[in-house]
Amino acid sequence: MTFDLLTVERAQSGDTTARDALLAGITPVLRGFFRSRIGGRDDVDDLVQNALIRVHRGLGALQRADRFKAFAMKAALYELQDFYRGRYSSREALFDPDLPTPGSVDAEDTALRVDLERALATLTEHARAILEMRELGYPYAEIADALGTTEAAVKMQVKRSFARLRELLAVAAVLAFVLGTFL
Amino acid sequence: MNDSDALAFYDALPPDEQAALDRALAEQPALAEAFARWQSLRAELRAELARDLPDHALLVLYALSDDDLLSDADRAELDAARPALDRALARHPGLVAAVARIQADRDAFEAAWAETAQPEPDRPAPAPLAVPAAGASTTNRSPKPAASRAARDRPAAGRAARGAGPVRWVARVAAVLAVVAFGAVLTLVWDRDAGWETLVADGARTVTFADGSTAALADGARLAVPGDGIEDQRQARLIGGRALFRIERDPADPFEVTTTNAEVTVLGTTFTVEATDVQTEVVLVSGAVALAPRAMPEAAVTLAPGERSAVLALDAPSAPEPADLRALDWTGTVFARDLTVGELAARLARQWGEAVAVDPALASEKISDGEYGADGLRDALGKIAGAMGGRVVAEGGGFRLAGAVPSGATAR
Repeated sequence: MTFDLLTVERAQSGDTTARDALLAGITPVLRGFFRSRIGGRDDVDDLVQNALIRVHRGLGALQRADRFKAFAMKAALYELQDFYRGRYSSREALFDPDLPTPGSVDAEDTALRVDLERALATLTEHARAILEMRELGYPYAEIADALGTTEAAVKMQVKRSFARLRELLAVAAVLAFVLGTFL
Repeated sequence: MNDSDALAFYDALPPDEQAALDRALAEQPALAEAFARWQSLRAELRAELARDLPDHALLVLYALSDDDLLSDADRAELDAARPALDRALARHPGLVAAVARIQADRDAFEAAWAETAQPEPDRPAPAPLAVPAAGASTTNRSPKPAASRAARDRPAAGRAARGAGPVRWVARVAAVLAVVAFGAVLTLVWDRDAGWETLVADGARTVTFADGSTAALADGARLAVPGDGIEDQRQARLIGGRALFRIERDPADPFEVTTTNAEVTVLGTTFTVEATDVQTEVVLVSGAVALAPRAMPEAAVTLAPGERSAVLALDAPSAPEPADLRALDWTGTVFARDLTVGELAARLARQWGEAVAVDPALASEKISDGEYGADGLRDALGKIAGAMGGRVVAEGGGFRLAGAVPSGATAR
């Protein structure tokens, strides 16, 4: 059985053989795709299987069988986005987005809270793009690729941003000392 | 890298290096404060992104919106969110970069697709499909109420699958696929147990399916057919031996013939299948069929009339090649392709064990491709004679194909 409209339609109709054929047919596509994006890591297997599950679960809602390719593509892209967002056990995974970042200052902690808006305003657009992409979950190498630069240059921007923040802190501390002393 | 620099990349460090930094932070309050601010800055960025773009799936739709990759439901969803999305993109350069990255991902998927050489869908898009309820068979395609159909053409959405986390359990799906790859025989056994009836041909035998399709079995062939309890009657399993299938055309419900290691999908055609435990050979007489190993459906080949292909074990099918249709003479029918009248007559004579002579004037004439002999020798000869403007003459215990009836003579 080829991967064609007929197979898609039969799979949608509950034909388990067609469904298995369809999933088996796109497995090498997904594997090739994920390998091209994240390399030959162990996570590729999870990504492939999760994307297959997305396809399987969503197949019944696919209204046009001739759009199966775009449908499978979206499944793969969603899965990759989840991967970047730290849903896998990646060394560079971000912290769970639903939990506070370890070490961060509680918004209620006014004594330690700096003017984050001011700190953010000091970031260049390039630096902000890097930090935002990082918060979206992209590894530094991916960020460098997306921005057309090197990973070393990206990391240098991050270091400079951190250094600038520390300078702001130092200035704020001096101001606080001066204000506390003379007012 | 000193501690200060390393803190900027804390989340990207391995646990042992994070632990070392934790110790440094405990010993250096100023550094700890700076790190706390840094983490707060990042948390604020993340909160802004989450506030301005609550659904990351929209970013994928936005990245694909310039191409014909979105369903109507996708477009409607994107259009509804576009004002907010445009504001978010204007505010966050990281989102703009992420869109570009997703578009690069799209190109990578296209490349992977092309590399795997999956054939594109080969006929115009049909109207929205009628999808039966889960578990329904292919023959009972009662349309689902429109309201019950999901409104979007989206793969089980990111949100739905996210709850699964790393989903190690999906390895079970991999196992299922592995079974498909290596368990064809087990599948066959399973299906037989599920209400199939196995017929063993003791001599030539023809099986007629509910839709009028037939399977002419050679002596000894074993064919499993769906029992009354199986709704999809347009399928059969050739467990072993040879069979000639004549399938009634029904594009909406293709007929499927499976063997222990291969499957043949047809819309309406005539073909033969010869199956052993390890090999399946298909010869196509008319129409079109797709032959694939059950373990490797993506490796399917499509046969043209007069071509053959075989699947050995779990290998890919052999490249289609011209078949010697004489191999189908066992069916009792001569399948003529590019034959002269003399050649066809000789084949029929062998088939029926009778003498058939042909006048020299007719012997070298080309005869139309087709089937001859299914209804007997006399019928086949009459068909030839009719096509050539000749006649059939019974003589000496056999037959002779002669030219037009001479004036004053009587055709026999």
